[in-house]
Amino acid sequence: MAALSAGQDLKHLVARIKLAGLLTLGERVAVRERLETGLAHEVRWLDLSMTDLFARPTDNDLAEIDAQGVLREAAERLRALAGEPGEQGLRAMTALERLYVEHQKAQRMGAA
Amino acid sequence: MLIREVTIENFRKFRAPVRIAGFSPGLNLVCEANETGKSTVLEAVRAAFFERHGAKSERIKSFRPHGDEVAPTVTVVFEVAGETWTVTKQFLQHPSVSLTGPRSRHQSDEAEEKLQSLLGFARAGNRGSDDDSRGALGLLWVEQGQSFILGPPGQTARRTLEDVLAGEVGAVTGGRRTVAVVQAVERALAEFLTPTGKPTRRLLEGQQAAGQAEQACNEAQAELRQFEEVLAQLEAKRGELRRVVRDLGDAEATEQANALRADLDRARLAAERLHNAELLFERAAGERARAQTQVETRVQERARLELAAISHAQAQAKADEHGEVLSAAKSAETSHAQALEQARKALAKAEAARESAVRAQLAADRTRALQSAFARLDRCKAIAEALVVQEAIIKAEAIDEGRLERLDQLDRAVLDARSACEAGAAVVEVHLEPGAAEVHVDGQLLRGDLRRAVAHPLSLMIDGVGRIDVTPPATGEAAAVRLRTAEQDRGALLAQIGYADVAAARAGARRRREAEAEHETLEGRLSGECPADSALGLPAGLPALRAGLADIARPAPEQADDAALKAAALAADADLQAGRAAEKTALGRRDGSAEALQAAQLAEVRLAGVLDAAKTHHDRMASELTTAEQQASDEVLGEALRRASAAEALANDALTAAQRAAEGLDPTVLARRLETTERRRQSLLDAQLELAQTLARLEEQAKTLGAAGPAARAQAAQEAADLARTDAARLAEEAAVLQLLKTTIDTAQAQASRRYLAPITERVAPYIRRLLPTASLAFGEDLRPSRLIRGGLEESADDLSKGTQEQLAVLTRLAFADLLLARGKPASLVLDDALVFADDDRFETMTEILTEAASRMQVIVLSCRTSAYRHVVEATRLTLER
Repeated sequence: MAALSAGQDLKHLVARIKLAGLLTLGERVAVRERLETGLAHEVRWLDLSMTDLFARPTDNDLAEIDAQGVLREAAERLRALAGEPGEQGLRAMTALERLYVEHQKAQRMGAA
Repeated sequence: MLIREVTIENFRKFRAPVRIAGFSPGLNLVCEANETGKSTVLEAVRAAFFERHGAKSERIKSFRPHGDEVAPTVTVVFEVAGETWTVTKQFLQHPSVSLTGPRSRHQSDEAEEKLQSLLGFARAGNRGSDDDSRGALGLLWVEQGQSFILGPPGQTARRTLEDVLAGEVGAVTGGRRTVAVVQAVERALAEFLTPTGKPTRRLLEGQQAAGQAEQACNEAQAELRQFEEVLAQLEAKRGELRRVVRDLGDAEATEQANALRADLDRARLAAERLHNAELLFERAAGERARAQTQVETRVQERARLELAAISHAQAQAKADEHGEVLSAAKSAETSHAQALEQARKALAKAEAARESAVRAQLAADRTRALQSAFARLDRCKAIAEALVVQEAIIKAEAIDEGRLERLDQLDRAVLDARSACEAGAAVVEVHLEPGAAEVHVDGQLLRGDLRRAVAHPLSLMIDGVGRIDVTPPATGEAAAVRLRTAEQDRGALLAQIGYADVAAARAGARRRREAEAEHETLEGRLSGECPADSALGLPAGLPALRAGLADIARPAPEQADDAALKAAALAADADLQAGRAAEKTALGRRDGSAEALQAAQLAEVRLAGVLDAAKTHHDRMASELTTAEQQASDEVLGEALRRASAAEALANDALTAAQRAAEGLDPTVLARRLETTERRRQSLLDAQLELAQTLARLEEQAKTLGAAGPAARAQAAQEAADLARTDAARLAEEAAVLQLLKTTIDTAQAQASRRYLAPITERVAPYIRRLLPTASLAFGEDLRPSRLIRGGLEESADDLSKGTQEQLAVLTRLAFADLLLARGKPASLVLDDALVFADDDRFETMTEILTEAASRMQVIVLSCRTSAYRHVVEATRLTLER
């Protein structure tokens, strides 16, 4: 990102970014947020594909959602589902990520 | 949470201001009669807290007093967490709300939000507040008629309770965050799906956009296909036109048509000639056939004439043979008739002889019968005389069986009476010694000994001794009377039947029985001597016998010679039988010969007919042949046949030549081929014109369609459709993700709820046990009381009586309020006309429980039953101040 910014006028940049790899859930959410809410508004046009950027939720990720309450229970269930192969597993992973994001939002609003 | 004071104005029936003040922290009783507005007070309090001041729904409008355009206003002074607040809310006209606290004052929506956060309820919807929005206080402030409803708490109340319960079980981490997350997920999901799972908003728009793009793509593709079809048609039609022009200019086809026309002319001429030759041949063949038929007919007629002659000769021969048979039959019939006549004469003679023998036999039989009858008559007369004797004896002895029986009865009566008389009487026995003095008994000198039953006073005179009187006892008198009567009855019967004593009567009766037996025997013999006599025609009985023989002289005693008579009769029978057999034999022969004669005569008639017919036929045939020969001789017929055969051979030669000339020249085939050739040329000319027109139209279409650039448009539409499909799929996937997330959270919440239920069950248990000692209450995941467990048996809460349901509902609310209080949440209990279905015992128990609860929270009871709460001395009693 820093390299992109250096000496480039981002307003004239047209980019197609395809990400691949394995991150923790928190990291993936952070990457997505940085690209979608940051870079996407800075460049002229951005085609972003994160399909191949997989997340592996860690215990820390889940602990950030909830220690032992309802949301933690839901997160555990989704992590178990995400371990299954196929479309259902991917969907559960996405749902877990959404839960992580919504929880962060609620936390921010609570802090505010 | 404490309510301190309520002021209401222009609200339903309260037009003038009404104030209720002096609420205590414990139990408060507002006991007023019906129709005084207790329920309106509660409704006003609920409106002051839960309804938005700016709302104008039908329910809000119903707050106005009927017919008045005024502004319903409610003011409530209350305490929360030790701080006193005053809320004043005005509806409909110049709606307003103000909330004044110890350190702040809030207006309008800010006041509404502050109220919500203070008391823990949610913003009301467009239609006004409901169970979901009113929160825990809405659940605890129970309106009239709602107290017995065992429903689940509303959404906000349930979340509050769950929040509290989570704290109770020590599992709270971000309870509010959970609510926020759930609400965020629900809001996000609402952008995609309706609560029933149907696409809405973004997902629906995405799907519609995909559908429209798909349709546009299909249309562009169709347009492109149409353009390509036009181009293909254009090319095909051009090629077709080139082929038509080439075919029209073909010289070989023109020559072929001319040759066909020349062939057709030749074929028609040959066909005409052939037709004429055929007609001539048919005529010659007919002539020859006719001549041949005449010759053959002549031969056949001659043959038939010969056959007729033979038939005639055979008939004549048969007629001659039959003449002899007929004369033999006639002579036989004559001789048999004579023999029959003789046999009949012999038979008449035999019959006369037999008749005289029979008459002699009958006369002898009658004589024997008469002799027998007269002998029987003689014996019968002797028997009749004996009968007279016996009848005289029977008549003399008048004692029949009935009288004898009667006499026996009377005699037994005398003996019985005498025995009775003697049994009751004294018996005097006198035995005189030789030389004793004379003794007189009742004046009569006694000779010998005396033994007598004394039925009457008895006097014994003894010379030289004196008189001895014997007097019977008085009891013997009645027996003596019965004896006397019996003896009189018996004497009367004996006198009636004419006997001196019983012994004579019994002897007479025996004689009569013997005479009757003899009489019966004689009657039997008489009957046996007079049977019915068939020979003389006499019925049974003596009178018939006498009458039958009265006018007949007794026959002489000599005997007829029966043996001679029977022999003569047998001989006459044999002669008669022989005569009859001879007559039948002669009759049979005569009939047989007559039938044979008749058959011979019939055969003669038939043969004569056959002979006559054969002769007539022969004569007619001969005459016809003669006539024919005169008309045309055999030579003439033969010559005519030869000439006709020669003419037929010539005509046949001419026909063969004509057929050969017409071979291979069929005018029909040639005409059809010529027509086909001409039609093909005409169709080519027509096609040339049509193709020119079609080509012009297709060229114009191609120009128009091509100008729009259909291939580029189809490509663009396809790309747009792919994009829209991808978008719709992405939206659907996002909806599925949110749905999965919501379902997972719901499941986790339900599971958590189950864990949370334990504190509620524990809190409500002591109350339940006081009301129903052996029972406990179980809750559903939605916090609704679902089952009552009583003595180990589970009952659905819905199946309980209304009264029990209401009591359980009040106790459950009390347990909820305890939970809220334990977590420092505002809670108070308001019951409007509750416990109306409770019996006296349970009502008392419930008021005890409420009184105890009032030590922990404010309890306000609104009731129309003043006397029912009279015993509750701890309560603060309030009235409506107008």
